[in-house]
Amino acid sequence: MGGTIVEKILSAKAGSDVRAGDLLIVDVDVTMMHDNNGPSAIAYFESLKEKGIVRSPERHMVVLDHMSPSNNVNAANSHKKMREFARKHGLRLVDTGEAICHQALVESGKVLPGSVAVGTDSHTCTSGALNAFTPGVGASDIAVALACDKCWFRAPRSFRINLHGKPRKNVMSKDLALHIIGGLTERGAPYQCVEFAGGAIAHFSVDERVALCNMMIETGAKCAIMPCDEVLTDWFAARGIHGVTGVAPDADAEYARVMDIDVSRLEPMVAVPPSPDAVRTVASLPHTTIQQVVIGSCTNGRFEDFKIAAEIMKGKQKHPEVRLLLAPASREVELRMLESGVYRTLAEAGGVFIMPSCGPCGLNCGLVGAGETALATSNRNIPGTMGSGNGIFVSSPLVAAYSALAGYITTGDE
Amino acid sequence: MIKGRARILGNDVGGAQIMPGKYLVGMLPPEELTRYLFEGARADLGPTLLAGDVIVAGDNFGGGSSREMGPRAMKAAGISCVIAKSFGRAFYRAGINLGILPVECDIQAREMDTVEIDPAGGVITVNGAAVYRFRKYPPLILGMIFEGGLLNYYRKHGTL
Repeated sequence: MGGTIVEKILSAKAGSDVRAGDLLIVDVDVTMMHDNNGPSAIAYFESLKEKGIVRSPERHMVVLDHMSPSNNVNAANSHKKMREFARKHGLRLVDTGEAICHQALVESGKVLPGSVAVGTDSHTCTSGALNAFTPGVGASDIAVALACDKCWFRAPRSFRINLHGKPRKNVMSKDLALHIIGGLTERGAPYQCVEFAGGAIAHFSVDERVALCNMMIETGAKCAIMPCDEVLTDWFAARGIHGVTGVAPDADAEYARVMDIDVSRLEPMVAVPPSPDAVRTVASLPHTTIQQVVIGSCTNGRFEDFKIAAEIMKGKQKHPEVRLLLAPASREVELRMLESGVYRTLAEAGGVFIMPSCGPCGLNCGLVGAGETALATSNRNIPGTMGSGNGIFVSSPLVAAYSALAGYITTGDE
Repeated sequence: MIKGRARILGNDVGGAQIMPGKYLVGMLPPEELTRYLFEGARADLGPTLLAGDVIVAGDNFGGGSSREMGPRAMKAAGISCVIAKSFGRAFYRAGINLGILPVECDIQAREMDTVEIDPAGGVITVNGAAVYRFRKYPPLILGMIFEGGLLNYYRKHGTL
């Protein structure tokens, strides 16, 4: 019996034949801690040995993104501690305003096809778009990985989704993600790896694949993974990384479930409060006025997301009763927006920029008040998200841009 | 053998219900967070927890956010075992790492029933009578749980 992508990655790492359900210990290639769980990881690490040494400093990243810039003294103290730890041990520090942790991993050049990357966040699955095994882990896992490079895993079963057809012009990978989550619900792929396959993948850029993998945790999955094709190898080459070799599943791999989706049938979708799996088409939504639109986050805060918004909003003004908050996922994204004119277009349309960070998702800024409704391009709308108000809706950047102009949730078609 | 009072929760008690995010930013030690445990699902539970209590939950316990402070507070409260119909991966991982036994089993228990768990034998009894069986853990994982979790296992063995 052949292996899924994850089984083959873990088999290569373990040097033995790994099958779903096996418990194993392997070396991890990259780890990431962020400022919600990082202080715990550091405290755990420092409790392991009196003068603990980080075995492979080049493998680890310390990211200040959730409560960044710090808006209270406790957060500032956490950040200080994390900066000192990174400097002391020679770890890469992604400081305030540089990137959201998941985008930092994608841009790091260290998450390569076939690699194993872990982070202290459930959305670490985002980097699976790079044909890598990237589950979220806990602070104690990171502490032990700092000390000895190792982590334990239970090899997941895989849920294969074959994508066919070509998406319509107004459909983004976010709509596909919401379609999948709405169909599967938050218990659809429990503890599994969502493995994508099929010809439609070629129609999705790496930015769109990253957004799709980011959302798969909302099906209850452990991780998500994309194949390595020319689009991905070209993307790596453009970043100066040549000759990467992908890991493909075997033809006779065993899956927990296989599903086929014709992406040409998809429409713009929206997740309605109070959960990411409460999904419907935008067209079927009753008239919903909004007071805030957020484009950004680890899901849809990439260059192409803002570029699409800028194309829609060019020469126009946001609705006067809507606040339009824009939070790029990294400085690299922000600089591309500046160079391409996207930044200016969106600012002229009334957009307000937040520095690269988790922003409203990290509850750090841009919350909504009681009775207010927001539309965001992020991933979660469970109670508590962004202050919640009257409810948070989740959509693609395309729908978000049209809705910012209209003052209500729309695909801009009417 | 683990023995304790059953404390009942429903389905889909995720990371954000175990420990709401607003309590995480203050960097309080887990001992000071125990009273907020499960506030997002059952607000009366946290303040009345006693060491030795066994959480009995429904489907998908501990899914969603992978924050570890919730399970750490559970450990600080003395919870040694969670029996659930199914687990989200975040808690399953954190439970094993912290030495809280996650047992996947569909049992019938009421609040304050006496629950006994035999991890090596894969057997649960409720009020000394009703008997349930669950899939036994491999020795590596039971080792981690009963040597005090991942960190203590590392301290003792110097590697995984």
